[in-house]
Amino acid sequence: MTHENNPKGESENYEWVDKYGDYSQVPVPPGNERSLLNLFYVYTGVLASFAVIMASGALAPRYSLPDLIIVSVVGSVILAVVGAFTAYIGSVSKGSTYLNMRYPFGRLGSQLFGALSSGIASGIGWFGFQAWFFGVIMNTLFPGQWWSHPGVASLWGGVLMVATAYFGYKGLSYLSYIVVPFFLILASVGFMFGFEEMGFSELWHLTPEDPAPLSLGITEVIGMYISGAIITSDIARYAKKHWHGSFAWALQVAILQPFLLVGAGILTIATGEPDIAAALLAAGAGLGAFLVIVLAQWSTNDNNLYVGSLAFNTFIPLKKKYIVVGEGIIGIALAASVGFIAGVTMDPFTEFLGLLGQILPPIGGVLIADFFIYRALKGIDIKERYDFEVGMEIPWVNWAGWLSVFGGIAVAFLLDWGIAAINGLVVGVVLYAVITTVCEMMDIDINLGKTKIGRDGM
Amino acid sequence: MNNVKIRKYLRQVNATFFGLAIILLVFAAYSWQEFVFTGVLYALIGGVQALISGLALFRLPSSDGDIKNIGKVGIQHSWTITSVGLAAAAIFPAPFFDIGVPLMTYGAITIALVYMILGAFTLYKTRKETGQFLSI
Repeated sequence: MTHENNPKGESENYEWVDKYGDYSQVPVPPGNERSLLNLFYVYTGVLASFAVIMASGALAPRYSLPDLIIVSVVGSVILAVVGAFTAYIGSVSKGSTYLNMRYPFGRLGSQLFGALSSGIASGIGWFGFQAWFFGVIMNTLFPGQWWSHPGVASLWGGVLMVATAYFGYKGLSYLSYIVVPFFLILASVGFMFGFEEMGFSELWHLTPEDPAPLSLGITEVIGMYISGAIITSDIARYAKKHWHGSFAWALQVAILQPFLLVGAGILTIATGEPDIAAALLAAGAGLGAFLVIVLAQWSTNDNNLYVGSLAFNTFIPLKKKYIVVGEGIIGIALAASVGFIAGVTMDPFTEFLGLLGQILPPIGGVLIADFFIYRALKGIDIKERYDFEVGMEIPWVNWAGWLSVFGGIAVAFLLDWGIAAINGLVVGVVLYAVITTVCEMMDIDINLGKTKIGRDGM
Repeated sequence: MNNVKIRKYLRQVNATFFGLAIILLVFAAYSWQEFVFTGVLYALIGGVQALISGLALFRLPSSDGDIKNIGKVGIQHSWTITSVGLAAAAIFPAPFFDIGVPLMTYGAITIALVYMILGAFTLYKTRKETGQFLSI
């Protein structure tokens, strides 16, 4: 049988119908996978953003250069390990994070947790914030122009971001191919200006006035991208080989993130500002500064819409591209309305989004525990653990998963020790592993209610 | 166009890209002494483009194989060449990197534009002739 959305027609057994587009609710069919390089570029497209650069601007003044390197590398390696686990799940199942969540949370759990953590938080909230932030940076670097007014810039910037997300994974890929090498080259050039201001030896031996402990910096590095590490399946589902998603994720986050953090850190220490766009502008590269802002924000923010639409699509039976447009309209309206009111900050809003994002690490922990521990103990082969089939029964609710997530969230919020996101993740893993093992031994069903998956994946 | 022709085109275009990269590396060597940042920039762009185009020449499968495999290599490398070309075109004209030799500055900008335009055209042509996805 040739699948209607599989132009290569290489699949003999693919029985799904991709009703909503971009394989949003169904596994990615054989013949539609992408190369390792493609996955690497799409992941890096998300990473290549001003948020990473600005984060280093906050880190750098509190550490010496050797300590900044340690903080960046250790934090990034931990993120690489966590994301590699979740990416592997997507590479095997060929489903998005929210499809995979049907196993450890049931259909209702995947809809609720997906909508809260990725739909509302990423698809609307962070998208709106990043569009607004885009307008603010434009206005700072190119003041006095009508097109760089925060409100106007967030409008046209937001429309660009919706445009690629509208075309789904294909759109993200095209943009990432253009943005990633471009961004890395221009970021390197921007970082050069740090060395122009201060020599390497001087930078290396500089000590901060008020140094912070290494653990705090590692916590911040992990905290700024742990949400991305949990939803790596959204990209890894396109992997040709099972290890490709994990490898592509780990490679970009373990190598490129420290490069960006340390480079921006050097620029901050030397000039007092981490802003590579400002450095490029000062060097007379106005076009470079402009393109860096546009492309970096664009390739990050279209991913916010993308993952948000995947999550919303689990319970909104519309073509995914229409959900992208809907999210985009709400997010742009939010960004522009704030942008047009001078002096307004989005801090309270980002705190709310940060709180929503706190539920992702325990969700990731439960997913990892369900796939790598619970189903391994049941003796299920790793390639068949998340095997979606038309007509298969899934629970409405897997109460063990819900309980473990609530436990993880509680610990992440209440425990004043270590790294909140990692605490939530570890508690999610441990609680789920313990509860499911005990239930298995006592023959207690962890699932409530049953529903069938149709050919369209709903 | 059959396998032989598209493969020949990709070999020629990547050889051209490689040659242009060598010119940038020569520019880098010339400017390094007095203008170290300009030298580093030319070396960075020239080095990356030499690596990408050189690798493409090695990776291109033989012409008796699947045409899509030829397209895959052509498209992957052309994306990077085009993107780095865009970065070069955006940064080369900056006064900070001016070394007071107009021939070299305009030469470097021209090379950047060639990377950008010919890279984009190669993407289009390879997609059209091989039927390979652009988001490979």
